Amino acid sequence: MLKDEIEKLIKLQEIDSEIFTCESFIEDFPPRKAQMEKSIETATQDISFIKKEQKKIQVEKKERELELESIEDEIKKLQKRLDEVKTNKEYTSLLSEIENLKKKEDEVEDVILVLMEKEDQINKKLIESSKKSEEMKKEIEAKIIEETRKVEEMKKKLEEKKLERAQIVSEIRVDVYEIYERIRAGKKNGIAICKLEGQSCTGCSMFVPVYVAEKVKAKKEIVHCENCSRILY
Amino acid sequence: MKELTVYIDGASKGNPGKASIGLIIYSDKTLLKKVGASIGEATNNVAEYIALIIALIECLRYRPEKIEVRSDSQLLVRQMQGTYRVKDRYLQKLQFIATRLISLYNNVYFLYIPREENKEADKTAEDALKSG
Repeated sequence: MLKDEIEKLIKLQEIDSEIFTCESFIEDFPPRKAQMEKSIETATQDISFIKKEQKKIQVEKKERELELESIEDEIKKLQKRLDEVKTNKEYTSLLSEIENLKKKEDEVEDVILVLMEKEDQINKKLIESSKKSEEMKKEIEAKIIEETRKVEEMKKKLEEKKLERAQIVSEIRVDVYEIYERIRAGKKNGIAICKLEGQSCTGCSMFVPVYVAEKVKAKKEIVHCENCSRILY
Repeated sequence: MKELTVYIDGASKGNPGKASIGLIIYSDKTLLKKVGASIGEATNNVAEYIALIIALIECLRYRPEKIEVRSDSQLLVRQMQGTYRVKDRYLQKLQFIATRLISLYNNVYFLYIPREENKEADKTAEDALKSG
């Protein structure tokens, strides 16, 4: 009886949907995993960029500090010489030299203060980013472990469902199965048979004419949706 | 003789932005006081100085002989140690207040510590920022 065939097709469709879900999950896992690993890599790169920036600031600050030290030494030396000069001209010239060095000292100190502030900020940023990156890494690693476990489960389930499918296919009339397979092959989501709800096809949501709906209810023949050609029940 | 160790930190989201302070006062290894407070809009440096001022006020009640202020702000530590001058006008005022408070004590020392060693004060400031 056709009614039985339809029942079997519904069961087959359920199995195929589960197979489809399993296969999609398994297939999608490698790119998903790669994307997750890429996020970890990006975060690690960000950290190493911050570290480089931190090092750069530290080196520049050290250089400026040495420069400042040498200016200070020079000022001290000149100040000592002030006591030893014999002419007014020499004295004035030394004073002006000291004055210029003090200006320079002031400028270098300004730069050091800015660098110091930058370093304080980058130290803060590094700690915060490292913490966030570490949390994200843990989260992603846990997710990968969880999904790897799920993939294994899906593979097992897939084998079971394939056996179940073979069993039910052997019980379906060949001509009916061929129609089902032809429709299924042409559908992205692999749905070949769907319910008629009210007067709408649940596969494409399109309205079905009354005479088609009547045929579906009668269950005497295989009825297709006129829009998506799926089998209706 | 009571010696206090004070950890201070200032936080600012945006710099300047919503800011807060955190400070922890220890005597030996005993925790005496923990303060976290939101201070409205400020820069990181202003927050650091306000944390220092509040810490110095809080320490008054313990009449310490010596205070060691620990901060991860190089700028504040070096400026308070006198290594560098304070150029910012507003910070100059805050430094003036801090210096006046320091004059109430016999010995106040400043120590620059890495951020990892200032986690507690940092967390206190961060918590205050979130709740404030």
